[in-house]
Amino acid sequence: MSTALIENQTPSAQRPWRKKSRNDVLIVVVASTLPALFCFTIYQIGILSPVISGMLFVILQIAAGAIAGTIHRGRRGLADGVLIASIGFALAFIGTVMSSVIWSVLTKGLEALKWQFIIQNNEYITPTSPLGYGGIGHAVLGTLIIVGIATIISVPIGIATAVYITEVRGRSRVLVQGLVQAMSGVPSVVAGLFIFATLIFTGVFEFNGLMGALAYTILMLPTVARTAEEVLRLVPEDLRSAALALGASRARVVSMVVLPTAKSGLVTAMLLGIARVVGETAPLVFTIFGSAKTNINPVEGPMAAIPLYIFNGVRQPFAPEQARAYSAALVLLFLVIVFFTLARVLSSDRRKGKK
Amino acid sequence: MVVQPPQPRTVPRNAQLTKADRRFARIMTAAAFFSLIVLSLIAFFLVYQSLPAIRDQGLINFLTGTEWDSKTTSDGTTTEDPVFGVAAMLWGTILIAIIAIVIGLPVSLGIAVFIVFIASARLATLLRNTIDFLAAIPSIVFGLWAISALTPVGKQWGEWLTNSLGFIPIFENNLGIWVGTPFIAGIVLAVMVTPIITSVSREVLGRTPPELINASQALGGTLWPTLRYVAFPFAKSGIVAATMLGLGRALGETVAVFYVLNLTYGKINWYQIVSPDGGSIASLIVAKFSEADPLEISALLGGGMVLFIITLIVNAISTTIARSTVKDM
Amino acid sequence: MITTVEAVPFVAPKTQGAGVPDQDLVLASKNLYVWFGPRMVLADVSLNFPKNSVTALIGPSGCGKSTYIRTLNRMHELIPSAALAGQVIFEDKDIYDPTVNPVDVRLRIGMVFQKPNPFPAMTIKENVLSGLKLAKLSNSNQNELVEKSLSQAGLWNEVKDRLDNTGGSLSGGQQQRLCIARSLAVDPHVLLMDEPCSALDPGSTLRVEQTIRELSEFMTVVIVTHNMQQAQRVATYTAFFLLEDNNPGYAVEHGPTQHIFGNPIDQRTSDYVNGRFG
Repeated sequence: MSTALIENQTPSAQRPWRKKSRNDVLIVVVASTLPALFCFTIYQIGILSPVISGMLFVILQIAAGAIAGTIHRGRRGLADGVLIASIGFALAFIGTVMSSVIWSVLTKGLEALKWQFIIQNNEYITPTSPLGYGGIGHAVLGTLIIVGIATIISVPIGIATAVYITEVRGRSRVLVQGLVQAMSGVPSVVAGLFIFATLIFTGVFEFNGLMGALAYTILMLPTVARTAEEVLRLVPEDLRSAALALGASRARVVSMVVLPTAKSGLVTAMLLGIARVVGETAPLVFTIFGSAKTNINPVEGPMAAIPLYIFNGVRQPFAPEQARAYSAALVLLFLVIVFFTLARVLSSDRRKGKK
Repeated sequence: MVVQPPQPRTVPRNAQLTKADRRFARIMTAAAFFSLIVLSLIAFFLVYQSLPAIRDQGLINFLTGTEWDSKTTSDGTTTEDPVFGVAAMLWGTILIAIIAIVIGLPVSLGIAVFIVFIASARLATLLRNTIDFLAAIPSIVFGLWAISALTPVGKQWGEWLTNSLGFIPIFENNLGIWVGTPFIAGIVLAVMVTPIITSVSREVLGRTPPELINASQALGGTLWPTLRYVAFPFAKSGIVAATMLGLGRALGETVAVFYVLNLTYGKINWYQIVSPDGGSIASLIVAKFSEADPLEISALLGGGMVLFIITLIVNAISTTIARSTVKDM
Repeated sequence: MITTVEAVPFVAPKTQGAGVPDQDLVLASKNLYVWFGPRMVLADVSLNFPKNSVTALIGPSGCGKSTYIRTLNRMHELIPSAALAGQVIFEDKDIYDPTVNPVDVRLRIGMVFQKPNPFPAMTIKENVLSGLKLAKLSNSNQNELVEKSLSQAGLWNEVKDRLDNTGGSLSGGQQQRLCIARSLAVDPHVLLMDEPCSALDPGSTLRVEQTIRELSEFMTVVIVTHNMQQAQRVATYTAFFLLEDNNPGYAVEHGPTQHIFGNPIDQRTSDYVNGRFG
């Protein structure tokens, strides 16, 4: 009873500015459908070529936006109408691409994706072998090993670089920031070539997993360092002062206060670094050679990895091998999504924790 | 009473550091300079290992030549002198990167404006995550997409473009083939640079001081004037830096381009974007690497060096612009 | 590395006041001048802090109170452009003497900050003991130390059942008392407090003030505050800082709290404490 009473007394929350008049809705509907209908009709009749119809559609749609804007808000609405129509095209473009990418990998990749495909290796499998045999277990292992080694090398160095920039505040920190930035621009093919030119071409090492990991390190380090730098900057200055006021040395402030406080952010930095490299193909072409057998020794003999498997598989003119390549791409995409989502969840936790 | 103040006794900066602190600082400094070492080693080894080929060809010929032929027959015998020139591949790389930016930049700005100024909070978050996810998709996956989904469509569009607008030089096509064109490679790259440009532009646009936006809106400014006179001037150099960042990415991209671009040696295709004559240094390296003899490998490393230098320059420009923005603010 | 600073002549300030003993001092600054880069921000500050007293530093924003308090335990020098002249005498020794290790100074002269800042990655107990770990001190009976420090900070009864929760789970006032307990655990002789209640609600403020009064039974407290009622409630002595025109800030008057608020010598002190400016 009493709640009903209160409901009667208090007005319900309203948002009068959200109400659209029927006229406005009509304008929007007409403006967004008329050009499409018109151009589709022209195209069907065959008066104009598809390209011309398409361009006419774009022009008409933007003009329709302009007219709708003008009707709605007078002269000031003209530019807004054009802008919103153009933004609509941008969104449509990216939406189409996004769904098309996922759709093409999904439809073509599901065919060969069986449990056996994920765990078996590719030994004795030829490009024409039927889909029920062979798999990318060896490549999954290879990718995990190569990415694992790259992580072990690049995470400590990346975090130390970030500590140098934010905590030690050495004299050359602007230089170091610039170098990290420059390093993040190194093309992946150059990273692979560099390892090849220094360590393999010179005969110091053979093609093996470690070489791939080193090439990955070059790509991963800047991502880790830059993300870690941002994360460490978020640690409140107060905490450093408090620790110093308690008689801590600089080193202890970092190791006992700053790094533990930023822990989840640093994990995010690591995961973003992994997501950056896990799908990289070009560095592997020159470093691990690829293999059909399972090889878990990173310093002895060629190794397989998922991206390289896809790269080689899709160039084969045989349907089963292509199907396998698409399935491998699906597995790779899945791995990327896992790392990406983990990083997202962790960083949103951190933001919530701060509030 | 006017007096001269005493001279300060400055606290020596290192006095506050203990021995352990100094060791700690040294270790961190060493790690920080790892990137310097790697970059210099990359530069050194690429130059050093490409010297044999450059000496063989001459630097000028290597940079301006368009032929790339090891003249090695299938049985491994060499009858003529090999010729290696990167000019066609270099211009091809730049051409597809330009196409990528021309398509990708407006799209990115549109999305960034939508996220910052139009979308509701929930829609903006969704879109941001979508864009970030797009950035995380490996290039090989885009490569597969480009083969299976984009190439048929891009081929059709190319044909239409030539038929309808072939009188414009850039849409000329004398071969009657529309697969493997810079146009298609450029679209793939546009898709790949869009998330990069979008996320940086979104950030700089989002940093427009809210009081400026409020002021503009209070004066009756609608969306366009607010963008034109408030947000864009504020974010201009950030957007330029973002574009350079995307350009750097487009120049260095390898596998996605490799699948959909037909490499043509012997001439430079300056502008015919729907003709199947493309070039890409990164693709060249991947395409020729597996069957190269030592001299050709050396030449390929020379190509890598050229690519490295170009991306370094593009990145340096981006960093300089971004830094001057920070100073302005 | 000696920074030379251009000596701009200025009107020499003179601190007025009487009634602060110059015997039995724990801490004192003598003719202290402070710079940030080329800018002198404090001139000729000589203040005495008698044993087991509470001294409040009051004055309008930006007059250098916080800067001053940071010079008292060598936190000032952490700002790269910092410089100073003069002496800070702590237990008969100049803390800026080259032979003195700043870490030892900060251990003996603790500090509590404006915003409560317990270490988020540590539990309540670990926070209290963090000073020991950070400065590599050893203590055989940690549980006893935790209880003693928290009791002195007036927090023990409220948290004794949840010592393993994180510091972030406490209310703002409790967090600030946790920070006080954290400082007390390393057994300092002086506690510097930089506006410790400015981020707290009135109830928590009173609780922290009570803690301060209890602490003054066995240690020396220096507190920066914007709240003149607070100064009157907790402080034995009060110093009034002021910044005029382009001159550096300085201490206008220093004396027993009831003198400063009751019948100040300087007209500007009188104006300030009666709310006529600032």
